Amino acid sequence: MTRPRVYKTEAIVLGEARLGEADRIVTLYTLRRGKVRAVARGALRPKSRLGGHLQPLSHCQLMLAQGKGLDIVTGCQMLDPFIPLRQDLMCQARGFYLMELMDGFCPEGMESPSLFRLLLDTLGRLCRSGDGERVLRRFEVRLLDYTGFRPELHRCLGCTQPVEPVTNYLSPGAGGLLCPQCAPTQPPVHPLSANAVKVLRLLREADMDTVDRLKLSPGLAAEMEAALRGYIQFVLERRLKSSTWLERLRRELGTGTPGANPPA
Amino acid sequence: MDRLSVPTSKPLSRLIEALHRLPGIGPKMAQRLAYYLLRASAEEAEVLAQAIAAVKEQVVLCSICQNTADTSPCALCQDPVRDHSLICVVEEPLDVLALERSGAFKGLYHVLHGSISPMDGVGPEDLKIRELLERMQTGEVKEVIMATNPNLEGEATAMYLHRLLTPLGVSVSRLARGLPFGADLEYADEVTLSRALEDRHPL
Repeated sequence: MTRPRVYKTEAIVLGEARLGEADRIVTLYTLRRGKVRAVARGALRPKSRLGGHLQPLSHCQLMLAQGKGLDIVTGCQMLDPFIPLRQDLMCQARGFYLMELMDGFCPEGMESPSLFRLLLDTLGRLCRSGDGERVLRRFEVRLLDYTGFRPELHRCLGCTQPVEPVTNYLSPGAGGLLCPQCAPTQPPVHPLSANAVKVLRLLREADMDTVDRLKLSPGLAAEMEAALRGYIQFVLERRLKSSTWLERLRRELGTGTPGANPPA
Repeated sequence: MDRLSVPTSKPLSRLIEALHRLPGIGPKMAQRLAYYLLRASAEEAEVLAQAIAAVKEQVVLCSICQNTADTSPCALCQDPVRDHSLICVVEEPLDVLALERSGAFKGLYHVLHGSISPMDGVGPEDLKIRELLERMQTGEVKEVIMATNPNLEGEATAMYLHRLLTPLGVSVSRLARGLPFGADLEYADEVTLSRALEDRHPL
C-alpha cells in the first residue's frame, strides 16, 4: 500500500537538533508512523510559526510531508505543553529520561498506538503525580512489554519451575527471573525480593488507579529501580546518559544541598 | 574523504578536505571554496590564512567572564562605566554579541559555554559554573540575570543555577518570555502565550 505524501498525525516531540542556519531536525514519536525524524524549516527564527509548537516533551498535532530523506513539518499545533515539566527541575529530569528511553527503544517507522498512548499518559501523570519514580517504573515495565523485551516474572528461566516467594534474580541475558539455584549460571543478575517481583507484575498488569494506591518503601523502590535499570542497559547495550543527571539531582535535592528551594 | 581527493594536485585536495570538516560545508561547497581560493590573489589567501592562525594564537578566555577576548580580563570586565553589580549569564559567546547589539544591557556577562543537556551527557561540571560561583565571593554582585535559551536545556540550566545562587544571597532573575516583535498572535504556542500573559505590563 502506498502511503500518502502528506499526512497528519499526533506526535510527541522526543528531541531536536540544529540544522544549518535556522532549521531544526526534530525527533517525533507519532501515533501513525512511530518514530520519525523530520525537518522543521526556519524553526530557529524568533518569528517562526513552527518553532514554539515543536518543543521537546510536548504533545502536538502535526502535518508532515514525506521528503526524499527526512520528512518535512508543514504545520504544527501544540495540544499539551506539559508545563510542569518545564518548571520543575526534577520533573524535567524524568522527562529527559523518558525521551532517551523512547529514542533508544523505538526504531524509526515502527508504529505502536498503544506505546504512544502509554507515553502520553506517562507524561501527563509525571505532571500530576507526587511520586514520579513510580510513574517511571510503570513506564519502564510496560515499555519492555510493548517493544518485545517483556521479562518473564513467573517461572525460573533456568529450571522452568514456578519461582518461590524468596529473593530471586532478574537476569537480562536470560530475559527474566532465575531462581537462587540457577542464578549463578547466568551472570550478570540483579537480586529481586518476593515483594519486588509482585510489584513488577502489578505494574505490568494492573490499571493505573491500582498502581496509584501502591505504597512503596524506599528500599523496595531502590531495588526495583536498580534491577530495571540493569535490564534496560543490557537491552540497549549502553548506559542512559540522562539517568546520571536524574541520580545527581536526587542526591543533591535529597541531602538539601545545594539549596533545596523551589525552582524559579 | 578519499572521493574528495580526485583533484590532481595534493595541496588542493588537502584544502578541500580541511574545508569539508567545517560545520555546514558539504563536499561540493568545499570544492567551490577551494577553487575560489586557488584563483584568488595570493594576498587574499594570505589574509585568510593569517586570520585563522591568529584566532588560535591570540584569542583567550577572559579569566572573569569566560568570554572569548584578546586580553584577560577582557575589555568589558575592565570597563569602569559598566555596572559591576549586575551579571548576565549566557550560554555562548555569540549570545553576548546579540545582547550587546541591543545596547540595552550595561552590566557584565558570564559565558557558560553550553547548557545542561542530560541527553548528550553534558552536566554542570562541563560548564563554567564554578567560575560563576567564584565571582559571587567578592560580594559585589547584587543580581544575576539568566539569559539562557528558552528551551528545555536552557531552562534546566537556569533552574539549576537558581538553586545554587539563591543561598548566596544574590537576587536571580530570568529574561522575560513572550511574543517576539512583529509576530502573529494566531501562530503563537501555548507556552509563549501563557507566559506573555503572566508577564504582562501596564501600558
